[in-house]
Amino acid sequence: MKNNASQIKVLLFAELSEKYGWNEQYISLDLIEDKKAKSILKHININVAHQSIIVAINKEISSLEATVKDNDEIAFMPIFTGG
Amino acid sequence: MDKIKYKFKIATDPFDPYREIEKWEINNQMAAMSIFIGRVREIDQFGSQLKKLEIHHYSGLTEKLIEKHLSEITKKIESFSALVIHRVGFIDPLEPIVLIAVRADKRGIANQYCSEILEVTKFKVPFWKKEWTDKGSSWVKNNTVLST
Repeated sequence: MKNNASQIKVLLFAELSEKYGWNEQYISLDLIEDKKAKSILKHININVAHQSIIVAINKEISSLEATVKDNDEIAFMPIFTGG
Repeated sequence: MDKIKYKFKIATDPFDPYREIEKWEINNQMAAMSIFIGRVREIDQFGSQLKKLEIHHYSGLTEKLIEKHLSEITKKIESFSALVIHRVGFIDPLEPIVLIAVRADKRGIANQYCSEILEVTKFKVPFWKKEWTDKGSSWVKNNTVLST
């Protein structure tokens, strides 16, 4: 549960969510020195090939090199397979 | 009354694509129309008999990405109108997953954008398929590529 303003919301979807057993958690941004998406991925112990991850920040497609700020929502997603 | 340029809907329940087209056509009649209806395959990616297909999506981002794409087309093409419906949840074999209907004043435009929107739903929008068989379930790793 969210309890202060210096946190970010992290979402996992589909196979990632199933594999790691959660789909949403809040983490303190203070723990992520460079504030980059790839560092958040490492912090939450998601070990997958970077080329198989799609990142969205605040519901905009982004990249693992992008940085986040307080209260952002970051999503890590597997390759899309719709249609 | 202005014509509605496009409509996108996430369907959580089964839908009849022909009925949806009929309703949509009332206010969207033009010279040409292309339609794509995608249904659930009866066989999974490993060749086993499929019991159910499960589709997940990222609510909010899904709608945003499809509507952004449709909006960009309307800025380029004056005589264009599209209806896009995509199922989520558990779906039986041969039930419709996706409907794309594009109306335009030329057949080339209708065909081109019907195909383009379908590829967007397959590769650029956060939907994920999980296949269920008697042996269990597995996530679809990659979509099929466009081929003839």
